[in-house]
Amino acid sequence: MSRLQIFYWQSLPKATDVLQKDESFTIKGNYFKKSIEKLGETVFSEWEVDKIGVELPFGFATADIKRLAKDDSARKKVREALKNDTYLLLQEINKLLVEARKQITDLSAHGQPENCKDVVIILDNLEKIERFDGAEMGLESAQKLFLQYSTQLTAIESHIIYTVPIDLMRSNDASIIGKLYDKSFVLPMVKVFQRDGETPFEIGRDAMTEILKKRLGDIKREDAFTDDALDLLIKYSGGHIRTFLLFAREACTDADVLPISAENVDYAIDSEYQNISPNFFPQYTWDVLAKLDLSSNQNINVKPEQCVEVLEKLLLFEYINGDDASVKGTDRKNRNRQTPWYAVNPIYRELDQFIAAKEKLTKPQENDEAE
Amino acid sequence: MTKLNNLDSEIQILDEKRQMRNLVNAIKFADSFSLLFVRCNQRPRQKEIIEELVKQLDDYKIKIIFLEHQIEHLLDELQTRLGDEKYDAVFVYGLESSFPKANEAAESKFVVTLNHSRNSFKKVLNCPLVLFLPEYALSAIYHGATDFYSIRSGVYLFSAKAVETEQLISKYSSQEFTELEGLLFEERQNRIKTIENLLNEYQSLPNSQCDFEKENKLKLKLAALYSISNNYAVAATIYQQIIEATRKSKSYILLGEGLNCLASVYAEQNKYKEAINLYKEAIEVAEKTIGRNHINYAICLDNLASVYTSQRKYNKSTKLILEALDIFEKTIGTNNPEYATILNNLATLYKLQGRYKEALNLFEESLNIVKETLGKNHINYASCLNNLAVLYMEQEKYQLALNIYKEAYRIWVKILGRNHYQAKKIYGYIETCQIKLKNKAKLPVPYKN
Repeated sequence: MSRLQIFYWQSLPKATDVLQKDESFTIKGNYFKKSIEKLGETVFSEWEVDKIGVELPFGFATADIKRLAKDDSARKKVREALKNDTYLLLQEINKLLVEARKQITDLSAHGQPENCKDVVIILDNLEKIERFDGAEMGLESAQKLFLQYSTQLTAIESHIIYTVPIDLMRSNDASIIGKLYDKSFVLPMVKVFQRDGETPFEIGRDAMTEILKKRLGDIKREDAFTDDALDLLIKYSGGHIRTFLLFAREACTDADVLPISAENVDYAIDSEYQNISPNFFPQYTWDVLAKLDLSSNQNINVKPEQCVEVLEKLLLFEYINGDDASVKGTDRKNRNRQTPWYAVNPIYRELDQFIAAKEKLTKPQENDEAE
Repeated sequence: MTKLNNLDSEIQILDEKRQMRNLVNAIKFADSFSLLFVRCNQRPRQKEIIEELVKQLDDYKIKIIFLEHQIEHLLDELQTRLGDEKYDAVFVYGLESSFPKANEAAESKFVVTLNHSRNSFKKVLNCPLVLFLPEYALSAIYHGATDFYSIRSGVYLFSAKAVETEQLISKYSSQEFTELEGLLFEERQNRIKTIENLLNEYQSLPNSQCDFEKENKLKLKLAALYSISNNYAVAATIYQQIIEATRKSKSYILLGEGLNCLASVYAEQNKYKEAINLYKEAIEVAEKTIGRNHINYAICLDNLASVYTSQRKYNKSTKLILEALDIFEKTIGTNNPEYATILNNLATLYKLQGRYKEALNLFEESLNIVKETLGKNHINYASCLNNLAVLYMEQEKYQLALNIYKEAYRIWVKILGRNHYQAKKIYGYIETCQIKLKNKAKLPVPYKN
C-alpha cells in the first residue's frame, strides 16, 4: 500500500493549499514528520534527498527524492520500509482528516473559509498504474489494487475518488467493485450530437465553447474562432476535450490572422488524418469498430477486451445522455436512456478502412437475401 | 467539410512548407514544455528538416541531440545531455536505435519507460521537445506509450524520398552471396544496420505499397549477412520467418530459396537431420512448381547431396549428384559452367572415397569446360585449378600441384589483386608445396614407391 502513502505526501499538502492561507485553521501533529525522518535514516541515506521532513499543514511532511521517480529499486525499498507501518499510517492520517473535517465544517458554519465545506481527495492517474505489487501488468495489477486492497483504499475517513481502468470496470469484477466501493461513475465524452450522430446537442456544444473561452482569456470567442471553425472543432472532437484543444492549438499554429478560420481547423484535422497510418491498427480493429457502429442496440457482439482496446485507444467514444437531468420519475423507458452509448470517433468514422469494414459487414447479408 | 484522404492507395502529402511553418509556429508559441513529433522515415531527410528549422529559428538557443547508441530511458539521457543549461528548444533524433524491430517495439522497455516518465518531462524541460522519428517508431509510441503520445501538441509529417528508399532496396537485395562474403567486418555490421532500417521502413508502409517479394528478398540478404557473421541463430530465425510467410502466400520461388538457405545454415552447424529435412522439402517444392527437368531442381538435389557427403553417406550423395548431372545434361547441355560445378562436386566426392583416378578425370573435364566457356581469366577457372592442385597434393605429387597453384595464383592476382585473401591463401599453398618439395629432396629415396 506504499503507493497510496506516497501519494499522500505529494497530493494532500497541495489539496490543503487553500486552507494553508487561512490562519484560523490549526492542526498539528508530528507523527508524519517523525516517520519520514525515520525513513530518511533507514532508506534514503544512500541516495540524494533534496528536502526531507518539510513540515506542512495538517501535520503532513514531504520528502523529495530524485531517484524515486525513475528508479524501480528505490521505489521498492521505500515500499518495503513503509509496508509494516501501513495501518499505523492510516490511523494517523484518519486522525488528522477527522480533525480537519471537523474544523472545516465548524468554520464553514460561520461562512469561513469561503467555499470550503468538506475534504475530497482525488487520486488521479490511478487507472494508468501498469504494475502493482508484483502482479502481472495490466488488468491483474488493477485487480490486485482495487480488489485486494479495497479495505485500505476505503479506510480513509474522507470522500475519496479513485480513477479506475476501463478494463477492470468491464471485467467480471465490476459487480464486486460495485459492492466494495460506494458508487462508480463513468467520465463520458461531452455529448455534442444526438445518438444519430447528426442532430447537434446544444447544451454539450455550449459546454465545449465555454471550455474554449476559458483558454482564450481576454480575447472574445468570435474574434478568435469563426463560427464555422468552432463547428468543425466540435464536430471532429466528438466531445473529447483533449482532442478538441489539440485541434484548436494546431489550428492556431496554422493561422496567420485572427479569427482562425474553418480552413485552419480543417488543416489541423487533416494533419491528424495523416498521422493515422493504416498500419497503426490491425485489421480487426476496423472490424470491431464496424460491428459496434452497426449494432443499434447495446448487444455488442465483440470480445470485451477488444471493446476495451478501442475505448482506451480513443477509437470509440462513450457517452451518457446529457439531457437526462430533466427526465425524472419512474418511467422505465426514460430511465433506460441513462445507459451509456457509443459512437466511433468522428475522425476514424471517415477513414476508408472503417468504411470498407462496414461495407464488408453489410454486403454478405444482402447476398443472403438475394438467394 | 474535411475532405477524405485515401490513405491506403496513395499518401497525399500535405504541403510540406505549411507543415514546416506550423512546426516553427508551434515551437514559437510554446511558453513551457510541449511535445512535438516529426514523422519522417529517412535520417538524411530528418537532418535537412533540422537544418531548416535552425535557420528559421535563428535567435533561438537550440540543443540538437543525436542518440547514436541504444538508450533505455529518454528522460535520463536528456538530463545528462542537457545538464543545467537552459535552451529554447531541444531536438532529438536517432531514437530508432533505441527501438527494437518494428513488430516488438511497442513492448520494449524504452517505450514503456517513456509512458511512465511522461509527467516528469515538463519538470526537466521548460521548452519544446521535438522528437524526429520514423513511422514505425511513432506507431510503437502510439501503441506502447499511449499516455505519452496523448500529451503531444502536434505531429508533423514529412515525406521520405520514396525513390531513394526504392533504389537502396533494389541495390541491397540484388547483391550476390559472394559479394556479401567479401565485406569487411565493419562493412558487414553497417550493412546489417542499413538493411534492418530499410526493412523497418518497409514494414511501416501501407499494405498496398509493400512489395512482399522485395521485402523478403531483402530479408534473405539480411539473414545471409548474419549467417556469414557466424550468427546462425539470428539467421535461422529470419529464414524461418521468410519460409512461413512465403508458404502462406505460396510464393514458391522465395520459399525454395528460404528452405535452401536455412538448410545450409543448419548444415553449417552440423545439424544434418534438420538440414536434410529442409532440403527434401525444397526438392518437393521444386518438383511441384518447376518439375524434375529444371536446373533449379537439380541444384536442390546437389544441395542435399552435399549434406550426405558431410555425413560420409557417399552412396546416397553419389546417386543424387548423378541424377543432377543427368538433368543438367538434358536441359543446358554439358558445355556449361554450371554443369562443370556439379562435375566438380562429383569429383570431390570420388576424391573423398579415394577414387583418385576417376576424380582426376572429372576435375580435368570440368576444367576444360570452364576454360572453354568462361575463359582462362575467370575465378571459376582458378577454383578448378585449385581443386586439381589439392588432389595432386593429397597424392603427394607436389611438382604438379606447384605448377597448377602458380597458374591459379596468377589468375587470382590478376582479378582480385595481390592482397585479396584468396590470392594470399594460394600463395601460402605455393610455399607449402615448395617446402614439401625441398623436404622430399632431402629424404632418402625410398626403396620402393
